[in-house]
Parts: sequence; structure tokens; C-alpha cells
Amino acid sequence: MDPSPALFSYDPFWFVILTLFSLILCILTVILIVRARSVAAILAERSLADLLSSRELFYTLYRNSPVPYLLLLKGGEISLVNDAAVRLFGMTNEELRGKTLFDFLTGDEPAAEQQVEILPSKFRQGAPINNLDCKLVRTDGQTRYILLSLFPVEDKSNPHRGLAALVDITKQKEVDKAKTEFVSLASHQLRTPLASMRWNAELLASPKSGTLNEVQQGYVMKIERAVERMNALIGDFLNMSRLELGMLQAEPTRIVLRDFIAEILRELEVSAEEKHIDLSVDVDLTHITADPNLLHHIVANLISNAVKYTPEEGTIRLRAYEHDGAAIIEVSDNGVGIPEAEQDKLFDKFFRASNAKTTAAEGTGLGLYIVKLAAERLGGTISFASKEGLGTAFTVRLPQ
Amino acid sequence: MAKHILVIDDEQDPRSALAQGLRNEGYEVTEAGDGEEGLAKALEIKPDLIMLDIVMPKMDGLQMLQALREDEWGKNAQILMLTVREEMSGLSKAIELGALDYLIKTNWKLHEIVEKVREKIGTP
Repeated sequence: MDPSPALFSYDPFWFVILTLFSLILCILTVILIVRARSVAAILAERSLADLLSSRELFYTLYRNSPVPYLLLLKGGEISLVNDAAVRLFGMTNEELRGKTLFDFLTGDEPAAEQQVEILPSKFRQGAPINNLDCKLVRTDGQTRYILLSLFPVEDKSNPHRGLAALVDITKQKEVDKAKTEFVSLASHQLRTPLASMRWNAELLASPKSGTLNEVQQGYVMKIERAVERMNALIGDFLNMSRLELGMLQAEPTRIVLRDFIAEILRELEVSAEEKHIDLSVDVDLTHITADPNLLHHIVANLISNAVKYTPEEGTIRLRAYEHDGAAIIEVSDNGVGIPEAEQDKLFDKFFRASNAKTTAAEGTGLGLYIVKLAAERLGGTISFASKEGLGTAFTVRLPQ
Repeated sequence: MAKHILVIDDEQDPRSALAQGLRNEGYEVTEAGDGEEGLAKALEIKPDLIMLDIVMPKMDGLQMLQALREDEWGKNAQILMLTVREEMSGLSKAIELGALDYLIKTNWKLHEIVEKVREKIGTP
């Protein structure tokens, strides 16, 4: 036999099979490559299409959103706005472009104005703003009340620094103001017939008007009681509406605290004595600077609540002292306390805790709401700690 | 002769109740329904005390008080302001014009007002 190279020692049959197999393999590979490339192409095409359509989608959303949007450049200059923004400002995109958003904004109260003044620097720092209550002044002079939110753009390479969203709340503010004014007007109108009822009931009960039998006297007493209740309620409504409308002019006065509190206690002593409640007063602060009306609301309300919601033979403690440049007034009791689940609603308008209604049938639910407004009007804060069945302690902090 | 009080308020019902409460006490009381009428009656009767509301039609309490102070007798008339609204600005003007004091109607019971009157001008 010939010593031929291995390759050529194959049987021709197997050679053909091998070749065919390799060929098929090659063809398959080519097909796969071709298909893969087209799949990739298809995938690429589809995601590009998707991308294009979602960008379009987002742009459509942006343009048509009922919320005014403004894309801002580094210094707050307006770059691109949506249709709602055009309507809000009363200016076209071209007219708005280049103007600084912050130049249009202002605040009604000094606190809001302060917040608006620091906006440009906050924006430059990339700090987000959430629902800032402020006022927009248009170039035609019209104003709108808005909630401003600023969302910073993360991508530093993008010339845009943020997106501003402005929610127009002018209507809501108008409605709110109208409601408060209505309450004020109605309450004011109700006071005259109330004075009439009260005084005429007194005349009826007076021996100078004639003698009433016991039954009649009883009826008159009921009328008088109901009138007192209404009077208190209307007084609450009026105070509340005045505080809300910002009508109550706070006149800071230097008050001698001990005398001031003694006067309030004189009014409330009777109801405390009726329940044999031990009312102790610890005034470690000689003077306090505050508007006397507002301070009266706060102290009188907290004490009368304590008396109302503390059972017979209970204890109420009033403390006043100075701490860290602020006057602190604490009213604590060992009364019914406030259920934990209801504590976050305590200062809400008209809120009465579930156990409050069973302890004392009367109550408007306005007391603490007004106390909080009054404390805030005095530039201070109110907080509390309470445990149902153990008692409650309120702390009012008034910076001096 | 009993001391004379002039009550000026446009709200008839509380006004007449107040007037009666004062009469029950022994004072002589005349009523007026607005500033104009009040001014005329004041100059005519020269009462020992004028109880005056602020908000009234035709001529309000402050205008009436101003006009009263221009009169020889009226200069020294004793005035007690009555009001429903706690309008500090109106009341401080009244005090400037020499009003003795003010009463916020809704805070006072009838017998308390009568006591206050007795405090200011003495018994009938």
C-alpha cells in the first residue's frame, strides 16, 4: 500500500459526507448571521420607532397638560413653555422666552415674599420646590394665585436646569375667601337678634316685669342657656374668620402675666370648682409680649378645655416660664386624653375626638383650631402630648 | 328727678330691651333710632348719659359724637359707646372724642350693663 497523507486516506464516501456537512454548516451559519443582522436591525428599528413615538407622546403630554409647564435655563430664564403656560401668563412662547420666571412672582404676606426672594438661589443650587403658595403678576397687571413646583434637571450637560410647574389656585382662594366672609357677615348679623333675645329673656325673668311661676322660670332659664351657647358659637365663628382673613390686627403689648392669667381663671374658676378640680398655677415669668386678645384666646381656651375634659376631683396644672428666648405656657390635666389614632386631626377645624363627644356634649370643635391660628399669628407654635385615659399636656411656645 | 339716659341705636329690639332694663332700675330713658335723631334729642334733653351705637344709618355714632362735641353743652356730655363689632379703630376714635368707655353688646348681660351705668353716673 502507498504511505499517503492522512487526508487523502479517507474513503471518498466519507469525504463527500464531510464536505456536504461543512457546506450545510456554512450555509446555516450564513443564514443565521443574515437573520441575526436583520433581527438586530428590526429590533433597532422597533426601539427607535418606540423611542420616537414615546418622545412624541411625552411632548404631546407636555404641550397639552392642563398644568402650566416651563422649561428653565440656568438662571431661571424661560426656554420652552406649554399651552397652559401661555394661557396662564397671557403671553406667547416667543414673548416668554428669555424672561426670568422669578421676576413674575411675589407673595401676599411677608413670609411668602421671603420664600419667593430666595427662589433664584435655591434654583441655582438645584433644590426642588414643592407647592410654594405664591402670586403671579402678569405683564398686563392681572394677578393669579399659584402653587409653584420646581423640578431640577439632573443631566448637567443639558442647558435646561429645571422644569417649573404652576398650578393655578386663584379660584380656590376666591371661594375660600367668600366662605370666610360669609361666615363673618352671617355671624355679625346674628349678633343683634342674639342680644335682643338675651336681654328680653332677662327682662322676662326679672321680678320688675311681673311674677313667673316655677315652670315659666324654667323655660326662661332654658332660653337663656341656649342663647349663651349660640353666643359662644358665633363668637368662635367670628374669631376664626377674622384670623383666617388676616383681619385681626395683632397689637403686641407687654403683659403682666400673673394678673392676666388670674383674670382668666376668675372666669373659669366656677366651672372648675363645681367639679372639685384642683387647678394649680405656677407662673415663673413676669412679663410676656403678645397681643392680649390672641393670648387670651389661647390661655382661656386651653384651660376651659382642660376643665371640660377632666373628670371630678381631677388636676389641672398651668405653668409659664421662659426658655431659650421664648415664653412657654403649659396646660396639663389628668383628664380623658386624646385617642392616639385621632391625635393628628386634633387641630382640624370642627374636629372633636370621639371621646370628647361623650365626655362633654357641647363643643364646636373650633377651640383648638383657633388656638393654633392665634399661636401662629403670635409667631409661635403649639404642641401636645396625650394618652387616652391618662391626660393631656399642651405646650405653647411664643418667641419673645 | 331721676337721672336721664338717652339710648341711640338703630336696632330697635335690643335698644328697647336695654331701655326697659334701665327704666326698671329707676332711670328715665329716651330712645333714638339714628345719629340725626339722637343729636337733636341730646341737645334738647341734655341727658346725664348718652349710650351710643357706632354703626347707624343717616349719621353714624362717630359723626354724631363729633357734632355733639361742637356744642357748648355737648362738649361735656357723658358718653358710653355700644357696639356689636369689635372695631378697635372706631372705638379708639370715640375715646379720643372723650367717650367714657365702650361696651361690646354681646358680651354683656342686661344687669351687668345696668351696673356699669350705675358705676358711671350713679344711682337714678
